[in-house]
Amino acid sequence: MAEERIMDFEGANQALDRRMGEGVQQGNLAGTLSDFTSEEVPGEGRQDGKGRLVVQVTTAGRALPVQGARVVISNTDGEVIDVQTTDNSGRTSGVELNAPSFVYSQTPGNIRPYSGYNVRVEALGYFTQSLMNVAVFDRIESIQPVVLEPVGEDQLEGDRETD
Amino acid sequence: MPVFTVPENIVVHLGAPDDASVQNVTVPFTEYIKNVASSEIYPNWPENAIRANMLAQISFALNRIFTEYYPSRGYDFDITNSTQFDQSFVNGRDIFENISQIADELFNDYITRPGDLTPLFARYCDGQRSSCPGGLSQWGSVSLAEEGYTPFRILSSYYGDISLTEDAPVADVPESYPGTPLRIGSTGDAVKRIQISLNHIGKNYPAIPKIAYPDGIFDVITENAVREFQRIFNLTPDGIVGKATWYKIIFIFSGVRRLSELDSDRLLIGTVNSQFKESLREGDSGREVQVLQYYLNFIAEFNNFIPSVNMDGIFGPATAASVRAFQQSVGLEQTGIVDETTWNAIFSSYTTKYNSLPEEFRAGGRAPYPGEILTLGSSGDAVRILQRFLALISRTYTEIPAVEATGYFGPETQAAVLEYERLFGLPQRGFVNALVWNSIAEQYSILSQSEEKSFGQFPGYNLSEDANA
Repeated sequence: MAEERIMDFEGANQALDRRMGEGVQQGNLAGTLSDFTSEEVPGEGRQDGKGRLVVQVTTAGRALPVQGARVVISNTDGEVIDVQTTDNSGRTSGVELNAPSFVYSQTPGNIRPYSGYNVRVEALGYFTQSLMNVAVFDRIESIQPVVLEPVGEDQLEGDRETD
Repeated sequence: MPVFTVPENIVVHLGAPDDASVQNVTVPFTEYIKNVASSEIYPNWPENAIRANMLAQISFALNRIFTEYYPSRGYDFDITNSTQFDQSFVNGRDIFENISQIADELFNDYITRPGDLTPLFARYCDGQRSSCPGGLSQWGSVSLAEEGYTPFRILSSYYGDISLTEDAPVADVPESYPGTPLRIGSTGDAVKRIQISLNHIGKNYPAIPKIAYPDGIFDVITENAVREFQRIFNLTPDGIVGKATWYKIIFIFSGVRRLSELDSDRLLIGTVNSQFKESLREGDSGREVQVLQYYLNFIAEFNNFIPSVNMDGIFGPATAASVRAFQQSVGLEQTGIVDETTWNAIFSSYTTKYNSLPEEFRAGGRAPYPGEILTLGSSGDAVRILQRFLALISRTYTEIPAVEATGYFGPETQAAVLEYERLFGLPQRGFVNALVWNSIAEQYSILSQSEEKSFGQFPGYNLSEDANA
């Protein structure tokens, strides 16, 4: 398999949390808001928000769309949520994803107001690209641009499929 | 009165200014702003707070560029992504759709002090953990927006006396937004420009329906093409060309053109030669340097860690910087000198990227200037090619009289050349030198539809409808 390219946004997420929050933590003590519901997860507050994620795959910057790329969306535990294929504009049709409730982004607090998801993009002739901890907010569509890098013949192991 | 020009691209250093271990990345200015806003604030804040913050972020970045803050201190970038010095930018991150749409609209708007040309150095801070007198408070802007403040009022309350500059000129964009949206019923040159651009973008993005008659009349077919373009590029799909759509069409067209032009530039460098001859370094000049610059530019189209350079055959500081960036990206020592190892790595990277392009992008480019001026009385194959180019162009630019491809440059051909020169701002002399030839060949390339076999192209050029990756 060709070498995979990986980008992890968790470091950036934590930097944002530090700037915006009162010491935002994940997986620790519950937050300060009193109207928790049954969708609450300790340390993550209400999880009944919904965001959306669209992936846009191109090469040569944005000059050329990549059609037929396989896009796998997982949660950060690695469980696959959806698999989509890009159209002739390089886009997926999009998937709805869980996110913390909108209320957590309106004042500084210690609940992270977005969820992270992992995106893996595979296309014949290109390095596989993985993006970890892609941010999704309640009521917002996230657009993840992915620019694929071509793989050289000498960098492939085994036979290359031709169609 | 000279006005500040918004750059097409911005070079971002991915660390503190003196951190030499990190890379620089070149990004389009609109994409930079989208990334900054997506990294600095929450997208589900009230819209007026988002707009106010984004105007501050835009002004901040433009101030760095206008004052040449970093280059004047010897650095080879425009701004950093360190929040201690500048603003957050997370390379490769996701962008929020609402932020994307606001950025496409606001990217060339900025605030200044009244009567001042300089974009304001609009400092800001979160406003909760830190405060910045005279600067915008991010959390504070949320409260003000919730109270009904407009974006301008929010900014005024933090920055005091300010003016808003709107729709500033953009580098390499000679035609600013016409000022009123183009829609069904609109007519004129601006409409024609949009139609031609969409048709050309549609060669790479086949979901955009072809506008069979790009005649400057905004009809339903044009509206459908606009709407599909908007859907693909995350704009409101209303079929109307407002400011955001106008500039987005220009930027995407420019990216599509650049790729085809690199393909044509291949002709200038002659037969591709992978043999290493001798080391190249700053101070050298000549053909080998030009070939090197061509390879670097091609690689730069695929890899925004590599800056592109002028293909002038002179190995100056810009070329050295590009070589060093390439060496850094492949793990070689950043000497700025192209020895055999570096040369082989560059050539290999170029070949891989070139071979990844669909067939129709590997044509060898458009017909080169025949090397002699074509004028009244000239005859031959080059004249025939010229006439075919003009015939196709005249179908869209109907002011140009149609010519037959007889191979003889008579009065009719001269009249067509003169009209072409008038329309495209060239000196009206009625003969075809290199400047005129290249302009005509480029227009032909833009206007020729994907099914048509292009005359004068090198053998093997066979365009197909399918733009498979």
